[in-house]
Amino acid sequence: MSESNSTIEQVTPEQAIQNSNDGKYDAVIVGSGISGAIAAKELTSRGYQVLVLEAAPAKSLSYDGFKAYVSNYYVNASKDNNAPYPDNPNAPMPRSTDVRKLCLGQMDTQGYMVQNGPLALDSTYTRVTGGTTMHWEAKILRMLPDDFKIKTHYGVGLDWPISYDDLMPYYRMAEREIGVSANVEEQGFYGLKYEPGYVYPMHGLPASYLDQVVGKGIDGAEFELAGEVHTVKVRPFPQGRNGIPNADYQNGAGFNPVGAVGAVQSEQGGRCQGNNNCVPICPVQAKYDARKTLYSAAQTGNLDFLPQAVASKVFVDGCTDQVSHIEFKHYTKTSSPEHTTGNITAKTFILATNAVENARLMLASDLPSSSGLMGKNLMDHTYLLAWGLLPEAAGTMRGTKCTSGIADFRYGQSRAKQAPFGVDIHNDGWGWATGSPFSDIEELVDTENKFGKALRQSTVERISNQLLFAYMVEQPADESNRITVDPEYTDALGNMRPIVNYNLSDYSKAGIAYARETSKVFFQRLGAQDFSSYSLLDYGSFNYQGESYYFRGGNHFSGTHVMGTAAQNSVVNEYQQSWDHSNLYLIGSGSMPSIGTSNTTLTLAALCFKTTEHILAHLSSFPVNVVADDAFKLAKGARS
Amino acid sequence: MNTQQNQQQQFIELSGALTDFNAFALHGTGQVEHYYKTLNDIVGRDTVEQLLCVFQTVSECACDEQMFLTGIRQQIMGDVKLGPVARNIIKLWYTGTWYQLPRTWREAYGKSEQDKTFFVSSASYTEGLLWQAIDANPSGAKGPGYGSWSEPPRIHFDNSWQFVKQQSVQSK
Amino acid sequence: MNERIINTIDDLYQMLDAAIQLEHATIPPYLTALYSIHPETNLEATAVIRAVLVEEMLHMTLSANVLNALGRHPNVLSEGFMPSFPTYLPDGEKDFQVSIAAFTPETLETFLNIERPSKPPKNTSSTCPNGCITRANHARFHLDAIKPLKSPTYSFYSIGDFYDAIIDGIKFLETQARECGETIFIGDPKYQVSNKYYYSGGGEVIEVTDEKSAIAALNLIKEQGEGKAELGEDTENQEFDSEGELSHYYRFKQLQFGRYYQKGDRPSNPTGAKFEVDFSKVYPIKTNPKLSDFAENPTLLKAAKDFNHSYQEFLGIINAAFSGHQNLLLGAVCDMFRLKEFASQLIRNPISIEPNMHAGPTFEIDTSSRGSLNDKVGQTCVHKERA
Repeated sequence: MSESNSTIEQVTPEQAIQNSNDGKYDAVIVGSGISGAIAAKELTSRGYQVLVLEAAPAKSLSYDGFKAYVSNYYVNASKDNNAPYPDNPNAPMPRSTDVRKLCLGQMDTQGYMVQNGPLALDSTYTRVTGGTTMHWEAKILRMLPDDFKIKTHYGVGLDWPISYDDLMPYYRMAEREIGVSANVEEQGFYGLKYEPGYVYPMHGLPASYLDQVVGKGIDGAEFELAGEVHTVKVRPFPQGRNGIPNADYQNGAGFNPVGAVGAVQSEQGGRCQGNNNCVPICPVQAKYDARKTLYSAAQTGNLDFLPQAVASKVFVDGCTDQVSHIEFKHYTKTSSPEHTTGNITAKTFILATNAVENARLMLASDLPSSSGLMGKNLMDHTYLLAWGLLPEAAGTMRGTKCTSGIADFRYGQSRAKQAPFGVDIHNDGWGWATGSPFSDIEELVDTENKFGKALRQSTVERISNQLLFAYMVEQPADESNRITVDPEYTDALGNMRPIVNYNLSDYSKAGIAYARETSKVFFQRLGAQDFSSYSLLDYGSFNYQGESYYFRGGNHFSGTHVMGTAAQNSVVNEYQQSWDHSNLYLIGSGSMPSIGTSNTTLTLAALCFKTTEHILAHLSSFPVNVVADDAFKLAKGARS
Repeated sequence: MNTQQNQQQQFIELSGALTDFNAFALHGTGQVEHYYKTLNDIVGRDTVEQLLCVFQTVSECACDEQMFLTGIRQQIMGDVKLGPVARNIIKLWYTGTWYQLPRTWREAYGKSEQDKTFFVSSASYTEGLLWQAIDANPSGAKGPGYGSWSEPPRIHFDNSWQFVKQQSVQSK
Repeated sequence: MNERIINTIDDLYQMLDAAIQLEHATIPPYLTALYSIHPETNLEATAVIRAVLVEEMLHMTLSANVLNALGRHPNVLSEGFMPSFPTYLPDGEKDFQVSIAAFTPETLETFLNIERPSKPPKNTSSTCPNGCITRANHARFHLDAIKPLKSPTYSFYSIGDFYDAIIDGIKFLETQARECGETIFIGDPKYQVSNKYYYSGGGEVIEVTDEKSAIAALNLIKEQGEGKAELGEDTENQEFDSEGELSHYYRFKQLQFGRYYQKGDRPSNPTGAKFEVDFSKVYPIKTNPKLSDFAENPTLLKAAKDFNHSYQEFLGIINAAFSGHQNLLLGAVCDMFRLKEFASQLIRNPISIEPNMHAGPTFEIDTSSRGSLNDKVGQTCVHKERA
């Protein structure tokens, strides 16, 4: 584990502006999440000079700063997925706790993300250094090859301009950068393929005891759908967290797991310890987060890092259509909106904020894309939760959040009629649905009037027996789901806030309804008592064919600047390069035309490697800078 | 032993009976003083004294455990004033959270500024007894180690509270 | 006078047994001090002690790898392996004792003594081998298993000196063996604990197969412990080892200064970030508690016994791991986490109110039951008994 110093050296706004004026920067990257961090690492390790603008403070780069997040989480009465991350009016973030049921035709402006409906979306992202990988679950699936051509194959959503085969080498790079723990032999299904002899950097994490209990009950269950039989098998997920390194990785070179960032003289960041808290924060940094990549970018000496600088406007030169500069607002305290404004220029501009913020910034800069698609085609995974009580103590509330699930409804001809879905078995029980285990104690004490021995016994039965299936349902691109802005809704710095316009199609709802039916079969087979109930008062409530359901957002915002084959049908090309402004790249899940039934991070990270390859080729067409010898060596090392 | 210490001792006994965790387990959380103080600060010393006094009477009058439990049920859990306080003590131990008292209680027996729902401290969250009860770690702390989750839970009822006829309650 | 301390292979076995015992002997004191700190307080001190503790476990593993490479399995359940606290250390340092105690300024002073860099005191008799000093009253040495040099007259001033003697011995014996076309590294490599089952433990395990890897393993222990330079010098960067890591001695030193070292600092003057060490946020553990202290409190007595039993089981697993069942190390780590919870519970329980005194783990291990224990963990522990 790296012991050398914690923090990434930071530049002042004045230094950044001076460097910019001196023509120092090959690239300016907005955002230090996984996309921004990978781009920064790829460019700096080859000797290019990069400035990263980060909207949030960077305290978490030290051990005590990171530990403060963990303590915030402990003490926060709400355990929502942004609980560790303090309010920052200068760069606010959406919080699920802000979401209310919408009244027909009325906007809800209470949270940072303005909800314009018709359905309220409780998805969030995290505006801190390291971005949403700070709170992500780090379940890290490749998309199925079929997912890239859903328009062609099933007549829904959008096709990608590239295929799974095109992305394969980049998937591999992403899996190395993140440090994925998985066993290839457990993952090759439904068209998923790997290069011969490929192994993941680390061995797969053991399945939880709960997974084993569930597998015993439901493996082999058969469902006929669109003339095809789907046979259920509980399988482990690839995980973006440290496990046991695979000695066979890279032809026997092995893999060195990346430890904690900022852990000055402390020992952290090793193997996953089963803290059962991947979301919202892994207390031991076994889970990958983008600070690890950012840190190695900084080690090259070619990175200037400017936190507390919110990109506020992208300026385009009217003659060349090239981006001329980006304006940022730098604040010194999160408690005060006082700020200074500066402009930064570079050879290349990379927006790596996230799907919502990229679109928000472009729209706020009055750059809606000649296609008119900026902000449109907003997608997210739609979750249906189904929860029950097993007849035995399954040891729920232990392990990483989720070790296994069901992939057998992710594929097939039924995709023409209803949305496909993956299923997660949640090791944290009913937490997502009911607020377990706290809500259970409240109920046992206040409603069931238990105390003493009866209470202790009931606590075991009520919590350790819990089972929750989270159905992750695909949402295809739909232009009416979109991010917009309005000068009426701004944050403390005067930046326009995102407005989300969101609905579910019948295609999605049909998938959700079918998902619910499978859960009933699973509970039957397991002898579990079904506790699922979908209140009409819930903010995610909807009705489909006479039945009530509610949905939860999957925090997988995407599609807001889709890639495509031409400037008329998309915002960016397959390299995530803006069709309109050739020195501008919008990177991240916003570029994805479809998201299948895979969590988006691995695919967006793979895309990022593909993009940086393109940017590097582009930059190398500029007059060559003299690269220091050690930087050169580092670059060579990083490539191997 | 002074009155303060004596009362704290009684508080531990009461907590044991309410939670089914013995004094060793309760001390083992390191939260005894913090919780006792929180309780006193929010509901007031008089109410705490009243609660402990009723508890002592119930303990002294009980010939056996059943009688004791009935006493607790009727004199404490079923009491308009003491019931909500006792339930809060249970929830405090199990979760580390002080829950705001019910509105009716607040209106009848006084509102404290501090009476909001909150974790007593960041440590109190990690020391909730519910986690011990289910042989799990509090999420986000005390990770039990790589792969531990693939074994069945080792649920046990160690350190459970034992009913002892009165004289030992006082002299301990 | 022969300057070499190790002259036969048996000397070397014995010194490595002592090394494993030495590394282990620091674990109960570090562990107890660590868990005596109130949760969520003293973050820096907690991190420092924890990091050192984890590296001690690495050191124990590295020493075991060296011994295994020589064809001998360590036995951490041998009689007398677990010291009775307070104890002198197995390398024979005699001017201080190590105790199971709360984290206090005195405890910190002891930790600094444990990890102190090599500095032969001025009054050392010149007839002693390197790093050794002559002292009287060796009878007070509490650890029966270890008798360095089989000589009652030497002891090492620092742990580093102790390891230097082992390295010298390895070089000497291996050269001798080579001359006859042999090697002392006759152990089966399958007994080497590898990084597959051991990482995140404060550095990488070195698998030992020959003289070079043995010396690398022992040097890693030395450097992590005390750094590369001698105490008393005050030159830049001497706090760091060749990997750029701060040595244990200087990590603890920071807790005295309330300030981190950074690169370029002299030992006397750390200039990194400042922090507070609050000795009042510590449970007042009775120093070197014994089971007999809990005679009047049956629950406490049971808990303390349970802890010792669990610790013994843990040592049994370590034995098995060092004898070819290294996959058991994964489980051993989980057991460690459980032990931590048991220890914390003990430490938070008062044994008396006036004066305010808390319980703690006693680490009194009954080795007489070790036969049945070995059966229990399903090991085929094939260690040879010591002569």
